[in-house]
Amino acid sequence: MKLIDVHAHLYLIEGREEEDRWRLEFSKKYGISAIIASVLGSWGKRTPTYFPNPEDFISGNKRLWKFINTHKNSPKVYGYVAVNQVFTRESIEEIERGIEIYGFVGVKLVAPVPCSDPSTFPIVEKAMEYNVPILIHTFHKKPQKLWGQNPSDSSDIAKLAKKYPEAKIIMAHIGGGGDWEYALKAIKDYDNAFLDTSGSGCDRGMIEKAIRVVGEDRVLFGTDLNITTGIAKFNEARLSGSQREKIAWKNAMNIFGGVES
Amino acid sequence: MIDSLMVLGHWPFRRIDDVNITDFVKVMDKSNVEKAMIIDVNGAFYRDSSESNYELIEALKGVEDRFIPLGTINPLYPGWKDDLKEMAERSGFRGLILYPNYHGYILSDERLEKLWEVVKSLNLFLSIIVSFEDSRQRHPLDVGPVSESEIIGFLRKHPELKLAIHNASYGMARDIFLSNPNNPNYLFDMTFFYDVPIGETIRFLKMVGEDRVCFSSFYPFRDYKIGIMKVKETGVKNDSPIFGNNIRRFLDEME
Repeated sequence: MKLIDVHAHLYLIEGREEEDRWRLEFSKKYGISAIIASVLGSWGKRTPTYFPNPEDFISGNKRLWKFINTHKNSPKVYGYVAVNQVFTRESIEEIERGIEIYGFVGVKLVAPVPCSDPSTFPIVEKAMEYNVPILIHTFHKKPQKLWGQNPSDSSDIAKLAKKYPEAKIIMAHIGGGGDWEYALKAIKDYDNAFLDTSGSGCDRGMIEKAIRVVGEDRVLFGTDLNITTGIAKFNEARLSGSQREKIAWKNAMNIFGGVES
Repeated sequence: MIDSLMVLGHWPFRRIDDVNITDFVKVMDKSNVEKAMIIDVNGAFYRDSSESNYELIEALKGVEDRFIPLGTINPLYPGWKDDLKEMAERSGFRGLILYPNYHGYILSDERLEKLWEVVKSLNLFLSIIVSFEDSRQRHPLDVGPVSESEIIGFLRKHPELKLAIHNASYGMARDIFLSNPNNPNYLFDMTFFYDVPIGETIRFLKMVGEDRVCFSSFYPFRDYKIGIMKVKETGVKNDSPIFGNNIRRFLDEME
Protein backbone atom coordinates (compact mmCIF):
# COMPACT_ATOMS: atom_id res chain seq x y z
CA MET A 1 0.00 0.00 0.00
CA LYS A 2 1.12 3.53 -0.70
CA LEU A 3 1.99 5.49 2.42
CA ILE A 4 2.54 9.24 2.46
CA ASP A 5 4.05 10.77 5.59
CA VAL A 6 2.70 14.33 5.65
CA HIS A 7 4.70 15.37 8.70
CA ALA A 8 8.39 14.60 8.32
CA HIS A 9 11.55 16.56 9.03
CA LEU A 10 15.07 16.58 7.72
CA TYR A 11 17.93 18.38 9.42
CA LEU A 12 20.41 18.80 6.57
CA ILE A 13 22.97 20.36 8.87
CA GLU A 14 26.41 19.36 9.94
CA GLY A 15 26.40 16.91 12.81
CA ARG A 16 22.95 15.49 12.16
CA GLU A 17 23.62 13.57 8.98
CA GLU A 18 23.12 10.26 10.73
CA GLU A 19 19.60 11.22 11.81
CA ASP A 20 18.68 12.17 8.26
CA ARG A 21 20.02 8.83 7.08
CA TRP A 22 17.98 7.02 9.73
CA ARG A 23 14.88 8.95 8.71
CA LEU A 24 15.18 7.85 5.10
CA GLU A 25 16.24 4.29 5.90
CA PHE A 26 13.46 3.71 8.41
CA SER A 27 10.88 5.30 6.15
CA LYS A 28 11.86 2.93 3.39
CA LYS A 29 12.06 -0.08 5.70
CA TYR A 30 8.55 0.46 7.02
CA GLY A 31 6.92 1.09 3.67
CA ILE A 32 6.64 4.88 3.60
CA SER A 33 6.64 5.68 -0.10
CA ALA A 34 6.73 9.47 0.13
CA ILE A 35 7.49 12.03 2.81
CA ILE A 36 6.53 15.69 2.90
CA ALA A 37 9.32 17.23 4.91
CA SER A 38 10.36 20.54 6.34
CA VAL A 39 13.67 21.88 7.58
CA LEU A 40 13.26 24.22 10.53
CA GLY A 41 16.04 26.67 9.80
CA SER A 42 19.27 25.78 11.56
CA TRP A 43 17.43 23.73 14.19
CA GLY A 44 18.37 26.08 16.96
CA LYS A 45 22.03 26.52 16.00
CA ARG A 46 21.77 30.14 14.87
CA THR A 47 18.27 31.21 15.89
CA PRO A 48 15.68 29.29 17.93
CA THR A 49 13.97 26.35 16.24
CA TYR A 50 10.55 27.79 16.99
CA PHE A 51 11.52 31.37 16.20
CA PRO A 52 13.87 31.29 13.24
CA ASN A 53 14.86 34.57 11.68
CA PRO A 54 14.42 35.05 7.92
CA GLU A 55 18.03 34.22 7.10
CA ASP A 56 17.66 30.99 9.01
CA PHE A 57 14.37 29.77 7.51
CA ILE A 58 15.42 30.85 3.99
CA SER A 59 18.61 28.85 4.37
CA GLY A 60 16.73 25.79 5.65
CA ASN A 61 14.31 25.81 2.72
CA LYS A 62 17.14 26.18 0.27
CA ARG A 63 18.98 23.21 1.75
CA LEU A 64 15.81 21.15 1.42
CA TRP A 65 15.41 22.18 -2.21
CA LYS A 66 18.99 21.21 -2.99
CA PHE A 67 18.53 17.90 -1.23
CA ILE A 68 15.33 17.07 -3.11
CA ASN A 69 17.02 17.85 -6.40
CA THR A 70 19.72 15.26 -5.76
CA HIS A 71 17.63 12.63 -3.95
CA LYS A 72 16.61 9.91 -6.36
CA ASN A 73 15.83 6.99 -4.05
CA SER A 74 12.77 5.83 -2.15
CA PRO A 75 11.00 7.39 -0.34
CA LYS A 76 10.11 10.29 -2.58
CA VAL A 77 10.68 13.58 -0.79
CA TYR A 78 8.47 16.65 -1.10
CA GLY A 79 8.93 19.93 0.70
CA TYR A 80 7.09 22.38 2.90
CA VAL A 81 8.17 26.01 2.88
CA ALA A 82 8.96 26.68 6.54
CA VAL A 83 8.44 30.31 7.60
CA ASN A 84 8.09 32.44 10.71
CA GLN A 85 4.96 34.53 10.21
CA VAL A 86 6.19 37.25 12.52
CA PHE A 87 8.48 38.29 9.63
CA THR A 88 5.61 38.92 7.23
CA ARG A 89 7.35 40.30 4.15
CA GLU A 90 10.17 37.77 4.19
CA SER A 91 7.74 34.91 4.81
CA ILE A 92 5.53 35.92 1.88
CA GLU A 93 8.55 36.21 -0.42
CA GLU A 94 9.81 32.85 0.78
CA ILE A 95 6.48 31.17 0.14
CA GLU A 96 6.53 32.56 -3.41
CA ARG A 97 10.06 31.24 -3.92
CA GLY A 98 9.28 27.91 -2.25
CA ILE A 99 6.19 27.15 -4.29
CA GLU A 100 7.14 28.70 -7.63
CA ILE A 101 10.87 27.95 -7.82
CA TYR A 102 11.49 25.09 -5.41
CA GLY A 103 8.26 23.27 -6.28
CA PHE A 104 7.32 22.73 -2.63
CA VAL A 105 3.79 21.55 -1.92
CA GLY A 106 2.80 23.18 1.38
CA VAL A 107 3.63 25.75 4.05
CA LYS A 108 4.91 24.86 7.51
CA LEU A 109 4.43 27.15 10.49
CA VAL A 110 6.39 26.59 13.67
CA ALA A 111 5.48 28.30 16.90
CA PRO A 112 6.54 31.94 17.24
CA VAL A 113 2.94 32.88 18.03
CA PRO A 114 -0.32 30.91 18.07
CA CYS A 115 -1.84 30.72 14.60
CA SER A 116 -4.89 32.77 15.56
CA ASP A 117 -2.54 35.76 15.83
CA PRO A 118 -3.17 38.26 12.99
CA SER A 119 0.42 37.85 11.80
CA THR A 120 -0.65 34.47 10.44
CA PHE A 121 -3.41 35.85 8.23
CA PRO A 122 -1.26 37.04 5.27
CA ILE A 123 0.48 33.65 5.29
CA VAL A 124 -2.82 31.82 5.09
CA GLU A 125 -4.00 34.11 2.32
CA LYS A 126 -0.81 33.44 0.36
CA ALA A 127 -1.18 29.69 0.83
CA MET A 128 -4.78 29.95 -0.38
CA GLU A 129 -3.57 31.76 -3.48
CA TYR A 130 -1.42 28.73 -4.30
CA ASN A 131 -4.05 26.29 -3.00
CA VAL A 132 -1.50 24.53 -0.78
CA PRO A 133 -2.05 23.18 2.76
CA ILE A 134 -0.54 24.77 5.85
CA LEU A 135 0.86 22.44 8.50
CA ILE A 136 0.73 24.13 11.90
CA HIS A 137 2.75 23.00 14.92
CA THR A 138 0.12 22.47 17.61
CA PHE A 139 0.10 21.54 21.26
CA HIS A 140 -3.28 20.26 22.31
CA LYS A 141 -4.96 22.14 25.12
CA LYS A 142 -1.90 23.63 26.77
CA PRO A 143 -1.74 22.80 30.47
CA GLN A 144 1.27 25.01 30.96
CA LYS A 145 3.69 27.24 29.13
CA LEU A 146 6.17 25.41 26.96
CA TRP A 147 9.78 26.40 27.05
CA GLY A 148 11.09 27.98 23.87
CA GLN A 149 7.86 28.02 21.92
CA ASN A 150 4.48 29.64 21.79
CA PRO A 151 2.43 27.05 19.95
CA SER A 152 -1.10 27.02 18.69
CA ASP A 153 -3.64 24.83 20.36
CA SER A 154 -6.76 23.36 18.83
CA SER A 155 -8.84 26.44 19.59
CA ASP A 156 -6.40 28.55 17.53
CA ILE A 157 -6.70 26.06 14.68
CA ALA A 158 -10.50 26.24 14.93
CA LYS A 159 -10.47 30.06 14.83
CA LEU A 160 -8.23 30.09 11.76
CA ALA A 161 -10.27 27.42 9.97
CA LYS A 162 -13.43 29.39 10.67
CA LYS A 163 -11.95 32.65 9.42
CA TYR A 164 -10.60 31.04 6.23
CA PRO A 165 -12.98 28.25 5.19
CA GLU A 166 -11.18 27.87 1.85
CA ALA A 167 -7.76 27.34 3.44
CA LYS A 168 -6.48 23.80 3.96
CA ILE A 169 -5.19 23.72 7.51
CA ILE A 170 -3.44 20.73 9.05
CA MET A 171 -3.37 20.57 12.84
CA ALA A 172 -0.03 18.90 13.46
CA HIS A 173 0.56 15.76 15.49
CA ILE A 174 -2.58 14.67 17.27
CA GLY A 175 -0.16 12.69 19.46
CA GLY A 176 2.02 15.73 20.06
CA GLY A 177 1.10 16.16 23.69
CA GLY A 178 -1.84 17.52 25.61
CA ASP A 179 -5.49 16.55 25.62
CA TRP A 180 -5.90 15.13 22.12
CA GLU A 181 -9.53 14.22 22.75
CA TYR A 182 -10.28 17.88 23.46
CA ALA A 183 -8.47 18.85 20.25
CA LEU A 184 -10.64 16.56 18.14
CA LYS A 185 -13.82 18.09 19.53
CA ALA A 186 -12.45 21.61 19.10
CA ILE A 187 -11.90 21.29 15.34
CA LYS A 188 -14.65 18.88 14.39
CA ASP A 189 -17.02 21.49 12.97
CA TYR A 190 -14.50 22.82 10.45
CA ASP A 191 -14.23 20.65 7.37
CA ASN A 192 -11.11 22.49 6.21
CA ALA A 193 -9.23 21.55 9.40
CA PHE A 194 -7.31 18.30 8.95
CA LEU A 195 -5.02 16.54 11.39
CA ASP A 196 -2.01 14.30 11.14
CA THR A 197 -1.48 11.19 13.25
CA SER A 198 2.10 11.86 14.29
CA GLY A 199 3.59 12.56 17.70
CA SER A 200 5.01 10.54 20.54
CA GLY A 201 1.59 10.27 22.17
CA CYS A 202 0.15 6.94 21.09
CA ASP A 203 -2.81 6.14 23.31
CA ARG A 204 -4.62 3.11 21.99
CA GLY A 205 -7.71 4.21 20.12
CA MET A 206 -6.36 7.63 19.14
CA ILE A 207 -6.74 7.21 15.38
CA GLU A 208 -10.06 5.40 15.71
CA LYS A 209 -11.48 8.25 17.77
CA ALA A 210 -10.07 10.85 15.39
CA ILE A 211 -12.02 9.20 12.59
CA ARG A 212 -15.15 8.96 14.72
CA VAL A 213 -15.04 12.66 15.65
CA VAL A 214 -13.70 14.51 12.59
CA GLY A 215 -14.37 11.90 9.90
CA GLU A 216 -12.13 9.66 7.84
CA ASP A 217 -11.52 12.27 5.13
CA ARG A 218 -9.68 14.63 7.46
CA VAL A 219 -7.06 12.34 8.99
CA LEU A 220 -3.59 12.11 7.44
CA PHE A 221 -0.76 9.71 8.22
CA GLY A 222 2.34 11.35 9.73
CA THR A 223 5.33 10.52 11.93
CA ASP A 224 7.13 13.76 12.85
CA LEU A 225 10.17 12.68 14.91
CA ASN A 226 8.74 9.34 15.99
CA ILE A 227 8.85 7.10 12.95
CA THR A 228 8.41 3.67 14.50
CA THR A 229 5.75 4.90 16.92
CA GLY A 230 3.89 6.51 14.03
CA ILE A 231 4.07 3.36 11.94
CA ALA A 232 3.00 1.06 14.77
CA LYS A 233 0.16 3.40 15.78
CA PHE A 234 -1.16 3.39 12.23
CA ASN A 235 -0.67 -0.34 11.61
CA GLU A 236 -2.37 -1.34 14.85
CA ALA A 237 -5.34 1.00 14.54
CA ARG A 238 -8.60 -0.84 14.00
CA LEU A 239 -9.61 0.54 10.61
CA SER A 240 -11.56 -0.67 7.60
CA GLY A 241 -9.65 -1.14 4.35
CA SER A 242 -11.04 2.04 2.89
CA GLN A 243 -10.30 4.08 6.02
CA ARG A 244 -6.74 2.79 6.01
CA GLU A 245 -6.24 3.80 2.39
CA LYS A 246 -7.62 7.26 2.97
CA ILE A 247 -5.36 7.92 5.93
CA ALA A 248 -2.34 6.31 4.29
CA TRP A 249 -2.38 8.28 1.07
CA LYS A 250 -5.73 9.17 -0.48
CA ASN A 251 -6.49 12.11 1.77
CA ALA A 252 -2.95 13.43 1.32
CA MET A 253 -3.19 13.21 -2.45
CA ASN A 254 -6.53 15.00 -2.31
CA ILE A 255 -5.21 18.03 -0.50
CA PHE A 256 -1.62 18.19 -1.74
CA GLY A 257 -1.57 18.92 -5.44
CA GLY A 258 1.20 17.18 -7.34
CA VAL A 259 2.16 14.71 -4.66
CA GLU A 260 2.51 11.17 -5.92
CA SER A 261 3.33 8.09 -3.98
CA MET B 1 9.20 -13.33 24.59
CA ILE B 2 8.08 -11.93 27.92
CA ASP B 3 6.10 -8.73 28.13
CA SER B 4 6.95 -6.92 31.35
CA LEU B 5 3.72 -4.95 31.70
CA MET B 6 0.08 -5.46 30.80
CA VAL B 7 -2.68 -3.71 32.69
CA LEU B 8 -6.10 -5.03 33.68
CA GLY B 9 -8.72 -2.98 35.47
CA HIS B 10 -10.50 0.29 34.94
CA TRP B 11 -8.57 3.46 34.13
CA PRO B 12 -10.85 6.32 35.15
CA PHE B 13 -9.57 9.12 32.94
CA ARG B 14 -10.24 7.94 29.42
CA ARG B 15 -11.99 5.18 27.52
CA ILE B 16 -9.82 2.13 26.92
CA ASP B 17 -11.27 -0.78 24.94
CA ASP B 18 -10.75 -4.54 25.27
CA VAL B 19 -9.62 -4.63 28.86
CA ASN B 20 -10.18 -8.34 29.29
CA ILE B 21 -7.94 -11.34 29.57
CA THR B 22 -9.22 -13.04 26.41
CA ASP B 23 -8.16 -10.08 24.33
CA PHE B 24 -4.82 -9.92 26.14
CA VAL B 25 -4.05 -13.52 25.19
CA LYS B 26 -5.03 -12.83 21.57
CA VAL B 27 -2.65 -9.90 21.17
CA MET B 28 0.14 -11.80 22.90
CA ASP B 29 -0.31 -14.74 20.53
CA LYS B 30 -0.27 -12.43 17.55
CA SER B 31 3.14 -11.12 18.61
CA ASN B 32 4.53 -14.48 19.75
CA VAL B 33 4.68 -13.38 23.36
CA GLU B 34 4.77 -16.35 25.64
CA LYS B 35 4.17 -14.70 29.00
CA ALA B 36 3.33 -11.32 30.41
CA MET B 37 3.62 -9.63 33.74
CA ILE B 38 0.25 -8.26 34.60
CA ILE B 39 -1.23 -5.83 37.12
CA ASP B 40 -4.72 -4.73 38.06
CA VAL B 41 -4.77 -0.94 38.04
CA ASN B 42 -7.76 -0.89 40.36
CA GLY B 43 -5.21 -1.40 43.10
CA ALA B 44 -4.13 2.19 42.65
CA PHE B 45 -7.64 3.49 43.34
CA TYR B 46 -9.29 1.15 45.81
CA ARG B 47 -9.13 2.23 49.44
CA ASP B 48 -8.17 -1.34 50.29
CA SER B 49 -5.93 -1.99 47.34
CA SER B 50 -5.40 -5.64 48.24
CA GLU B 51 -8.88 -6.36 46.87
CA SER B 52 -7.44 -5.91 43.41
CA ASN B 53 -5.24 -8.97 44.01
CA TYR B 54 -8.30 -11.16 44.32
CA GLU B 55 -9.76 -9.63 41.18
CA LEU B 56 -6.55 -10.38 39.33
CA ILE B 57 -6.51 -14.01 40.45
CA GLU B 58 -10.11 -14.37 39.35
CA ALA B 59 -9.41 -12.80 35.95
CA LEU B 60 -6.48 -15.10 35.27
CA LYS B 61 -8.37 -18.36 35.87
CA GLY B 62 -7.69 -20.74 33.01
CA VAL B 63 -4.75 -18.76 31.61
CA GLU B 64 -2.46 -18.75 34.65
CA ASP B 65 0.39 -20.24 32.62
CA ARG B 66 0.52 -17.16 30.38
CA PHE B 67 0.85 -14.51 33.07
CA ILE B 68 3.08 -13.48 35.95
CA PRO B 69 0.76 -11.51 38.23
CA LEU B 70 2.03 -8.61 40.28
CA GLY B 71 -0.04 -7.87 43.32
CA THR B 72 -0.30 -4.70 45.29
CA ILE B 73 -0.74 -3.45 48.80
CA ASN B 74 -0.83 0.00 50.32
CA PRO B 75 1.92 -0.05 52.97
CA LEU B 76 0.14 2.68 54.93
CA TYR B 77 -3.06 0.68 55.20
CA PRO B 78 -3.75 -1.56 58.19
CA GLY B 79 -3.07 -5.25 57.66
CA TRP B 80 -0.74 -4.74 54.70
CA LYS B 81 1.73 -7.31 56.00
CA ASP B 82 -0.86 -10.06 56.13
CA ASP B 83 -2.15 -9.06 52.72
CA LEU B 84 1.35 -9.17 51.29
CA LYS B 85 2.08 -12.58 52.79
CA GLU B 86 -1.18 -13.96 51.53
CA MET B 87 -0.47 -12.55 48.09
CA ALA B 88 2.98 -14.15 47.93
CA GLU B 89 2.57 -17.36 49.90
CA ARG B 90 -0.97 -18.42 49.14
CA SER B 91 -1.62 -16.84 45.78
CA GLY B 92 1.87 -17.26 44.33
CA PHE B 93 2.49 -13.68 43.25
CA ARG B 94 6.15 -13.11 42.40
CA GLY B 95 6.18 -9.34 42.38
CA LEU B 96 4.72 -6.30 44.03
CA ILE B 97 3.56 -3.24 42.14
CA LEU B 98 3.74 -0.09 44.23
CA TYR B 99 1.76 3.09 43.68
CA PRO B 100 3.50 5.64 45.90
CA ASN B 101 2.00 8.59 44.04
CA TYR B 102 -1.56 7.23 44.28
CA HIS B 103 -1.27 5.97 47.85
CA GLY B 104 0.32 9.10 49.21
CA TYR B 105 3.82 8.13 50.29
CA ILE B 106 7.32 8.38 48.95
CA LEU B 107 9.76 5.52 48.58
CA SER B 108 12.15 6.98 51.13
CA ASP B 109 9.44 7.09 53.79
CA GLU B 110 10.89 5.58 56.96
CA ARG B 111 7.61 3.83 57.63
CA LEU B 112 8.39 1.63 54.64
CA GLU B 113 11.51 0.02 56.11
CA LYS B 114 9.45 -2.87 57.44
CA LEU B 115 7.95 -3.32 53.98
CA TRP B 116 11.37 -3.74 52.39
CA GLU B 117 12.27 -6.39 54.98
CA VAL B 118 9.13 -8.36 54.23
CA VAL B 119 9.64 -7.99 50.48
CA LYS B 120 13.13 -9.45 50.87
CA SER B 121 11.96 -12.29 53.06
CA LEU B 122 9.27 -13.21 50.55
CA ASN B 123 11.64 -12.97 47.54
CA LEU B 124 9.43 -10.52 45.73
CA PHE B 125 10.60 -8.15 43.05
CA LEU B 126 9.24 -4.62 42.92
CA SER B 127 7.67 -2.74 40.09
CA ILE B 128 6.89 0.95 39.76
CA ILE B 129 4.97 2.77 37.08
CA VAL B 130 6.34 6.28 36.91
CA SER B 131 3.21 7.53 35.18
CA PHE B 132 0.23 5.92 33.48
CA GLU B 133 -0.27 8.73 31.01
CA ASP B 134 1.83 11.22 29.17
CA SER B 135 2.10 14.00 31.74
CA ARG B 136 1.17 16.53 29.05
CA GLN B 137 -2.38 15.18 28.97
CA ARG B 138 -2.89 14.45 32.65
CA HIS B 139 -6.44 14.74 33.90
CA PRO B 140 -6.83 17.36 36.66
CA LEU B 141 -7.84 14.66 39.12
CA ASP B 142 -4.93 12.38 38.30
CA VAL B 143 -1.71 12.53 40.33
CA GLY B 144 1.76 13.46 39.12
CA PRO B 145 4.51 10.98 38.28
CA VAL B 146 6.82 9.27 40.73
CA SER B 147 9.82 11.55 40.92
CA GLU B 148 13.23 10.78 39.55
CA SER B 149 14.99 11.72 42.79
CA GLU B 150 12.72 9.38 44.72
CA ILE B 151 13.74 6.44 42.53
CA ILE B 152 17.42 7.37 42.55
CA GLY B 153 17.36 7.65 46.34
CA PHE B 154 15.59 4.34 46.68
CA LEU B 155 18.09 2.51 44.47
CA ARG B 156 20.97 3.89 46.48
CA LYS B 157 19.40 2.95 49.77
CA HIS B 158 18.23 -0.51 48.73
CA PRO B 159 20.50 -1.72 45.94
CA GLU B 160 19.75 -5.32 46.87
CA LEU B 161 16.06 -5.09 45.95
CA LYS B 162 15.04 -5.90 42.41
CA LEU B 163 13.06 -3.16 40.72
CA ALA B 164 11.40 -2.83 37.33
CA ILE B 165 10.90 0.83 36.44
CA HIS B 166 8.10 1.34 33.94
CA ASN B 167 7.19 4.35 31.84
CA ALA B 168 10.14 6.53 32.80
CA SER B 169 10.82 9.22 30.26
CA TYR B 170 14.06 9.11 28.30
CA GLY B 171 15.64 11.85 30.42
CA MET B 172 14.57 10.24 33.66
CA ALA B 173 15.85 6.80 32.65
CA ARG B 174 19.17 8.29 31.60
CA ASP B 175 19.56 10.18 34.88
CA ILE B 176 18.60 7.17 36.98
CA PHE B 177 21.15 5.07 35.13
CA LEU B 178 23.90 7.65 35.45
CA SER B 179 23.23 7.88 39.17
CA ASN B 180 23.30 4.10 39.62
CA PRO B 181 25.34 2.66 36.76
CA ASN B 182 26.71 -0.37 38.63
CA ASN B 183 23.60 -1.67 40.34
CA PRO B 184 22.46 -4.73 38.33
CA ASN B 185 19.14 -5.03 40.14
CA TYR B 186 16.93 -2.71 38.16
CA LEU B 187 15.47 -2.69 34.67
CA PHE B 188 13.81 -0.04 32.52
CA ASP B 189 11.37 -0.26 29.70
CA MET B 190 11.49 2.27 26.86
CA THR B 191 7.74 2.62 26.43
CA PHE B 192 7.54 6.26 27.52
CA PHE B 193 10.50 7.67 25.67
CA TYR B 194 8.64 10.72 24.42
CA ASP B 195 9.96 13.12 21.82
CA VAL B 196 12.91 10.89 21.26
CA PRO B 197 13.96 10.37 17.69
CA ILE B 198 15.44 7.07 16.64
CA GLY B 199 19.01 8.20 17.19
CA GLU B 200 18.42 8.82 20.88
CA THR B 201 17.05 5.34 21.54
CA ILE B 202 20.08 3.83 19.83
CA ARG B 203 22.42 5.99 21.92
CA PHE B 204 20.50 5.16 25.10
CA LEU B 205 20.82 1.45 24.55
CA LYS B 206 24.52 1.77 23.82
CA MET B 207 24.92 3.66 27.08
CA VAL B 208 22.95 1.37 29.41
CA GLY B 209 23.44 -1.97 27.63
CA GLU B 210 20.91 -4.59 26.61
CA ASP B 211 20.94 -6.20 30.05
CA ARG B 212 19.30 -3.15 31.54
CA VAL B 213 16.15 -2.93 29.43
CA CYS B 214 12.95 -4.96 29.28
CA PHE B 215 10.23 -4.82 26.68
CA SER B 216 6.77 -3.82 27.81
CA SER B 217 3.65 -3.37 25.73
CA PHE B 218 1.73 -1.37 28.35
CA TYR B 219 -1.33 -2.82 26.66
CA PRO B 220 -4.16 -1.81 26.45
CA PHE B 221 -3.11 1.77 27.15
CA ARG B 222 -0.94 1.45 24.02
CA ASP B 223 -1.36 -0.62 20.89
CA TYR B 224 0.50 -3.85 21.39
CA LYS B 225 3.28 -3.49 18.86
CA ILE B 226 4.41 0.03 19.76
CA GLY B 227 6.66 -1.18 22.58
CA ILE B 228 8.18 -3.86 20.37
CA MET B 229 8.84 -1.36 17.58
CA LYS B 230 10.41 1.08 20.03
CA VAL B 231 12.95 -1.55 21.04
CA LYS B 232 13.50 -2.86 17.53
CA GLU B 233 14.27 0.57 16.13
CA THR B 234 17.55 0.35 18.03
CA GLY B 235 18.57 -2.51 15.76
CA VAL B 236 18.60 -5.22 18.46
CA LYS B 237 18.02 -8.80 17.34
CA ASN B 238 14.92 -10.84 18.10
CA ASP B 239 16.87 -12.90 20.63
CA SER B 240 17.98 -9.85 22.59
CA PRO B 241 17.61 -10.29 26.38
CA ILE B 242 15.37 -7.24 26.26
CA PHE B 243 12.57 -9.44 24.93
CA GLY B 244 12.57 -11.88 27.80
CA ASN B 245 15.84 -13.04 29.30
CA ASN B 246 16.35 -10.00 31.47
CA ILE B 247 13.03 -10.64 33.18
CA ARG B 248 13.79 -14.37 33.37
CA ARG B 249 17.08 -13.52 35.06
CA PHE B 250 15.22 -11.35 37.56
CA LEU B 251 12.91 -14.20 38.41
CA ASP B 252 15.56 -16.92 38.40
CA GLU B 253 17.76 -15.01 40.79
CA MET B 254 14.89 -14.87 43.20
CA GLU B 255 14.13 -18.60 43.20
